[in-house]
Amino acid sequence: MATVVVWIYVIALMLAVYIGVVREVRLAIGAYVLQTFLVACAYALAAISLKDQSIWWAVLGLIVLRMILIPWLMYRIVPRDMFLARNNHTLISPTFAMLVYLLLTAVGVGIVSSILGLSGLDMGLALAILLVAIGIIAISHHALKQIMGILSADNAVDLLASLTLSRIALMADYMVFLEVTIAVVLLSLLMVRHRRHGYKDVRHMSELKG
Amino acid sequence: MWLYAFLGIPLLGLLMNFLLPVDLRKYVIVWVTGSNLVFFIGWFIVYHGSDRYITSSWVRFDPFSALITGITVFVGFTAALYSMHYLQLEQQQSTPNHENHDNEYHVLFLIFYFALVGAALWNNVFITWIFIEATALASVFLVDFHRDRHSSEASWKYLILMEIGGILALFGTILLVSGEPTGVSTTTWSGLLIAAPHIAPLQLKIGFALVLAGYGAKAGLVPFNAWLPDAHSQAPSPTSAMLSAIKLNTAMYGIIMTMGVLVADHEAFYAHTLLIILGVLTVLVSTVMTVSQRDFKRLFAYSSSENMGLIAIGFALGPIGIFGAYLQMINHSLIKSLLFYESGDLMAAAGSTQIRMLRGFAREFPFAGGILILGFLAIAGAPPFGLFISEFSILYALIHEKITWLAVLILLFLAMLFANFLIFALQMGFGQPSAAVRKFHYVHKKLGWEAMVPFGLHIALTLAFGIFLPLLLLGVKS
Repeated sequence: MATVVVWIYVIALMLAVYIGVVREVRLAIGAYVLQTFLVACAYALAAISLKDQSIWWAVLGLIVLRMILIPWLMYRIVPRDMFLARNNHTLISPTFAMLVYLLLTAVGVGIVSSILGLSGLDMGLALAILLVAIGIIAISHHALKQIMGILSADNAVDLLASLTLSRIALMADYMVFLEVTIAVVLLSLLMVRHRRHGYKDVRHMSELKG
Repeated sequence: MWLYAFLGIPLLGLLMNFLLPVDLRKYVIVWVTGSNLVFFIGWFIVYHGSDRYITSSWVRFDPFSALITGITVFVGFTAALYSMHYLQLEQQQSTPNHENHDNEYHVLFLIFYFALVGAALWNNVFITWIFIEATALASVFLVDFHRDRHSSEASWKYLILMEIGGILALFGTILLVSGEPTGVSTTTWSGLLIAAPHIAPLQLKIGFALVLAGYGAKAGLVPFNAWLPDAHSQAPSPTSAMLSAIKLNTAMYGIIMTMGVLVADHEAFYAHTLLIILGVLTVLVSTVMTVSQRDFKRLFAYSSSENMGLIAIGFALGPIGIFGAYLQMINHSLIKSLLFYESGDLMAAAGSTQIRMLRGFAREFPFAGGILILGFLAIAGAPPFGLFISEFSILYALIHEKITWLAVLILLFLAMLFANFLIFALQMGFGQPSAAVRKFHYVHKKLGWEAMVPFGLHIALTLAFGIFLPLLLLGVKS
């Protein structure tokens, strides 16, 4: 089962990189749904190995709130043409971005391996996904891609949580799911407001100097 | 279960806000925050010694939680009072066909207040995280309350950075919990303190570094503070006050609670070093940034960042430093919220947040101008205001810990900050009144009680902390 878990993490990492480099947001959302499905699989494997009924409720929450509700809400709130726009500016080219993501993966896996050795590979991969997702937010100039980065980072946190699910109360798990859902709704609503103010992209937000 | 009343009252207020007639809704926020303040004072009077505090598997109310909650309920109350005055000012400044968003403001205020009050009440590490995160989500539309280009930009940056911070903090927290040995299963702060010696030290260190980066972003520590000047400058003044005086403290609470876990595992040196590095960096960068400010709300925001840096340093310096950090938290919250309230009136007076537009403000409006000058002196750390004592304590703690060179460096930057604020106070307060100040004659000459009470209470309390605390300490010593 440990090998299956590691493969789940590896595929989730590859999907995070795909979210980072793909031009059309519609495709990035598809990759996010797949990534969340993998997280649900990791939760389900934990439920089987721990024989803990309550984890199945967490799997249900993941599928309903994260995999179905979040993409649906985004499609409802954000205008359709923004999903289809291909002109997604990034700070660096996708090729160079791939190299950055590779480096971040090495950093993530390297850090955790230095503590736990190969037994911590899954934890290291979760950290790598987190770093790649933060990389997506930093590199992307497209508001929707930044949201996808946040969602991918949340999946990284959930993958790490799947390793220690017996310790996390179901209520806390659900509250985290809800928090992410609310954050995505707020970000989507802000995007609609930006459009009204004439902002086409995040790179146009340069009137305040931070 | 009296502790749940702190959360129940705001929820009841939310319900009342929908049920009451429109004319009465503006009083709900004052009723809610006032009730919580009375409740807090009542708790302090009725309970004594260890009876005051609770630790169970879900809730935790220790002296540190009580301090954070005390600041929250007090500033929450004065912010609610000032909000009545502020919304009135906005109404007077608006165009005739301006849409009234007062009810939206009241609802958002109550949700934000609910999240702030709940942040320091929990023993479960995840519930603490959820409430700290909720403070960000609940305040996004308050930051974007004016719905213009600038506020929209600020709110986007704010939410994105808050989310990144939240995710990093959650990842770090899970890393700590997952390091517990087999057979131990706890997600409480008190449980983690016991389990800490059995967690791999390197795992603890990485977990803390992530938590520090995450909550540090929320607390406005450099280099994660890009959101702070933008959000503070665009939000309505009472919201800026709550962001600065309460929200930053709740994030610092998350950092300090996690630091406790490292201290329990004899990793205090690592945690303290990281905290001092970020704290010093924050003080230095924020002080330099205050020099070039032309906008008074951004100036106050950078000053908040600088104060959080000092608080971070204080918490890393043993008992004297911790005492100074507690005092700094209280005094900064009192003075900064006063200055942000004042900024609402300044904006109404000059129609702008530009410092140069406010020349001669104290001459034209003696009462509000006088409060402004006192506020500037107080935040600069001048005696006899409370901030002088707390900054002195932190500097003394640095010398006590034999880091004298750092004490000298911090003192130099505090002197620079003092000079900056004095110059800004002179520029804004005195001289021939600018055309903008002369043009905007409004309610200033007859400030209502909704503004007078917060101004008076904040100035009086910070003066009391500066004057009576040393006498009290001398009394204890003798």
